[in-house]
Amino acid sequence: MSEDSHSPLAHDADAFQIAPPAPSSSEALDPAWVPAELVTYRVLLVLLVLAGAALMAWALGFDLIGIAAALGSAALMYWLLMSLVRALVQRQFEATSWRVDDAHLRICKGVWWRRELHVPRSRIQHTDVTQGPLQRSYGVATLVVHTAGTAYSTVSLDGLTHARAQQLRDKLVLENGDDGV
Amino acid sequence: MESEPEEVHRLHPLSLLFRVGSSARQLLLPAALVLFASGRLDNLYWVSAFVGVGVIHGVFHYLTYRYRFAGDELVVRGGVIFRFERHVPYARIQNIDLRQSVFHRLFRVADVRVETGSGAAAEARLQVLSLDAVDRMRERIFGERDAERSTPHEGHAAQNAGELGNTAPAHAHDAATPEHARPVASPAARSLLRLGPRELIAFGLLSQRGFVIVAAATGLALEFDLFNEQLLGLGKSLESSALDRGLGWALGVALVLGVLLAVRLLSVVWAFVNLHGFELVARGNDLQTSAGLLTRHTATIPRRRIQVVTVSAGLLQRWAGFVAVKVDTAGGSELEAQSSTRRWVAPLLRASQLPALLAELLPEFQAEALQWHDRHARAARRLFKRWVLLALFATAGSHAVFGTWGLLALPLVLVWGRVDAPVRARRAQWARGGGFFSVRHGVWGHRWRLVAEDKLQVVSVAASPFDRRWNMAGILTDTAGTTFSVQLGYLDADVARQLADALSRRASLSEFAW
Repeated sequence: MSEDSHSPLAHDADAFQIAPPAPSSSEALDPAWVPAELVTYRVLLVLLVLAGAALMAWALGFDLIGIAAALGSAALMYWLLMSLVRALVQRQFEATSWRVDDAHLRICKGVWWRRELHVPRSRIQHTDVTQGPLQRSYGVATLVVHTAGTAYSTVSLDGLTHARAQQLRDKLVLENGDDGV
Repeated sequence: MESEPEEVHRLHPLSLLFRVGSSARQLLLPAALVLFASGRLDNLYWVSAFVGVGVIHGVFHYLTYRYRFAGDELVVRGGVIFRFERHVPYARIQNIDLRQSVFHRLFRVADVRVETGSGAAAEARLQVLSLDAVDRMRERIFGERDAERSTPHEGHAAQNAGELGNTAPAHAHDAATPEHARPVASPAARSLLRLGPRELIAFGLLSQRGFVIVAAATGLALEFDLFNEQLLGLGKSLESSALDRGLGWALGVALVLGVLLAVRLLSVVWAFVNLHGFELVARGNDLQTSAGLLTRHTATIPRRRIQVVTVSAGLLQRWAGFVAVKVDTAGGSELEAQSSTRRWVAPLLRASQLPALLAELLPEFQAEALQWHDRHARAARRLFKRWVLLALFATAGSHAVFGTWGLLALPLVLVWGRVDAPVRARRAQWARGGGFFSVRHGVWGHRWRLVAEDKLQVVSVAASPFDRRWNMAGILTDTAGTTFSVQLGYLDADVARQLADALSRRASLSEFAW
């Protein structure tokens, strides 16, 4: 009962705060990750909205007004959806942080469903750095850490600069030493 | 000569027969379908051509397949067109799995799978070897491996041996064990647990396995409209004969009792088929289980590769004072891991004998070292909210079916949930201590999971928006074991975070060895 005497609003404000106060030693992702991520959504949204516009123009008849109305509403929809996606990706960016210390690699992610992964360094079997063509043009990369686990046999961290990812990979593998498997 | 490392072995000559047998069995159904569908006997040529290909393949497989024990690895070689050579270091071998159908047992051979921790398929499948060859292989592989690692817990384990053994005393083992289950002589084999017919009956009576079969039978009956024709007809004839309702009720009760009885009987039958002659044997650093009435299955579990130990007891088992113990090891295909007979080290064990068995499985484990902690104080309320949701859905459903009377479901489910939620919240606890992390929960049936902190791979803390409203979180620990993760929800978020950090730090201190 004592818990209920708190103002529920205070609780809510606490609970729905998007980025928790991360410890100072945690690192954020590279800001270039946001535009790199948005490109994919942009392409998808353009295709979706164009398909919708075509459907609408077909329904209204392919005259000047019909096409204009379809294109206009398509542009509006694109703008609306894109700002939503942009906000979401920005929140994802803010919600993601990582740090490596002598014991483990820790990754925090998730906007609504938050998750904190602890990977002990002696459990890292090997690490990969992958970079797709899109990622390459934005200079970001994905670090993939492999463990012998079952549910988390691979843990990936998307949105590091390529140099940082490689640095991290070398650090995790070289200082890891022999794992005695 | 026998110590020469490069000695090359072949499969048992009967390999040919079993190889052809298994490929014929795979062909049998399609062949029968082809013959029936076409109704023409000349299709028989095609079928026999396929069988012929199978035979030729079997011959070549037998002729080319070789294995040898080189230094510290098992080398398997074979293939006709595409040759392969596989080196399996002894230190990586998790399990030597034996499968023996009735025919295998008749000829004293076994289908052998050598497994490492790689997950997917067995590293080497030797179909088939004579039992003597299997013994030599075991001796070789586990002997070399154990020589590398000392056995510090041998004395401790031996001291517990006498206390276990459900029915048969440990030394009766040599005389009573049939030939096919004979363990290797080299490190002294001690029988830890044996299930006789009485235990199998008890197991069947206490387990719910028959439900699966009854459910399948019911589904089949529904499929063929048996219920509509038989049961409804029966109901109508009762109605028309104007018998009183009492008889109808009696029939209903009899039907329910009959189903319950059938479930028990089928469970007993299941137990006899799958667990007949169940035996758990400790040999040096390994545990070995064998069971099965027709197809006998022998699995070796290296003690230090046990990832998670699960102790569970259903309501009936709990009342009767029994528990069941399963272990998860790394390696082996997921499909095989799902077959529960393989993971059982004790399908039925007196609760009083549990400490002795745990001492065998996890020699370092001390139950007293565990310090149990409760969940978040609001866990009961959150659990009750789930019941409220369930009650609303259930009431909507029952209202649609039963009309006004269906609304009764609302108070019934709510009262039930009000009773259940606090117990469920209180029963769920986590503990650390002595290098082990543990979680237990359950209202009716109880479940207790134990994992050595050295075996942890990844520790995860997850919080849903509902969790975060009350500053709660769930913890999940991942191991190399194939099925279970040790997890618990509704913890205090700060506690969960600290726990995850501590577990992960503890795991990072030790080198992981499969």
